Amino acid sequence: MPLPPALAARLAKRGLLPAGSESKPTQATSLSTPANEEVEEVFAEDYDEPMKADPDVIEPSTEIPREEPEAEEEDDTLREVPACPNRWNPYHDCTDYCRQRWGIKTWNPSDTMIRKRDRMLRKYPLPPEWQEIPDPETDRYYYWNTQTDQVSWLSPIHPNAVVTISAEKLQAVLRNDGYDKVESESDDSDEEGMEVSDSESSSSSSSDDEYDRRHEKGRISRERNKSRGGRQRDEIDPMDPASYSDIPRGGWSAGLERSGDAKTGVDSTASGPLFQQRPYPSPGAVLRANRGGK
Amino acid sequence: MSYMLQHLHNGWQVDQAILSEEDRVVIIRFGHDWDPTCMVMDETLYKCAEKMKNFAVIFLVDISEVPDFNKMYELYDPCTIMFFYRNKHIMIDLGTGNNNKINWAMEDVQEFIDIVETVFRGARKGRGLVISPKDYSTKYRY
Repeated sequence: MPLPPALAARLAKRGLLPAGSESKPTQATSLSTPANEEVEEVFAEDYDEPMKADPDVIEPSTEIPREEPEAEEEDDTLREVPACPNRWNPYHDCTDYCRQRWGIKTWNPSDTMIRKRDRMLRKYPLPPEWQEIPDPETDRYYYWNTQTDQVSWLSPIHPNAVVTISAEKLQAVLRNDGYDKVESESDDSDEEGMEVSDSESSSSSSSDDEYDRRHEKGRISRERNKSRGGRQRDEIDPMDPASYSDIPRGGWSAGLERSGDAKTGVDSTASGPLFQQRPYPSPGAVLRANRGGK
Repeated sequence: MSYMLQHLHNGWQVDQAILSEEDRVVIIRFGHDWDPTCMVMDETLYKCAEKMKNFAVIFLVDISEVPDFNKMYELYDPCTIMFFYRNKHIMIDLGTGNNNKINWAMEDVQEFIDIVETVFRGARKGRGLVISPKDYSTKYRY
């Protein structure tokens, strides 16, 4: 009877399992940890660039010689990015140690990505002030407006293009702005990132339109999130009395009884025959209650 | 006749008036001296004040001057009579559904004296709720 891997690993650690069976569970555990790391990496990654493709899809790419001379030219625009796995942690700032320990990440675009990009650029050529920049972090190209300093993952004239300021700048702004804002932002993008990666993992077909569709999906999901969040904040629950009568919309504590703020001195919870047997408090108690309430 | 009866001008005075009365019922009329209903009631109160001075004492409170009790005692009638004995509110079952107070003007002096006497006797025995000698429910009035 095969042991469950967790138990097997534990037994192997204690030396209770023969070496032959030991190797398998340890392998399993060692396999499971990087998988977890990868998942976490995806979540955190989407904090920065929600529109970006999943690294799992692109990473197993073959090293191909670049045909385009323009890509070769732009090699000097390539940013030096340390291959630090903590780069996607928004609270991590890469130091010299990261550079030494992990080295510099290499730019290795996949041929499918290049093909889709070419197709997209053929359909939607770049306007003059826009420049194509390779992004070593994602092994993809993004587009940069040299005048307004905006960026886009798609060609700016693409119908699904989202032209924004860069995530780094946004992050810097949010960091200065306050801690809680960053929190909320990360929440949003986490959710959205999960949806995007889900859709990608399910659709493994390599059609040319997938490049566009993926982005469309990401954007739609984000818009849906946005609208859902907005509704949660603004719209009134139909069961809320404020939605069908003229009483004001209350908070959590609205309607709770507060001491000293009693509507009447008698016990308001008494009903039935007890209702007529509720004495008022003495004047001294009333005065004390009034004083306590203020 | 309100000028013949003693007025209380703040909450503290009301409290002290009730606390300081050891063995008499304290009758407090909440209302306004200028209110016609109160004028009728004050007339009755003045007439019976002398007769029940051994077991009851009467005070008048202007609910505009002393608004402290309006909320807790639900004072929204033009004229309200309440009874206290040894710092305790005494209820009367008048048959009206509201046992806490008399909220209409009584014209009959003897009827009022009977009620106060019932309150006094009941309160002396430690009762918080006494039954009025006369039923004031609407079925007998009309």
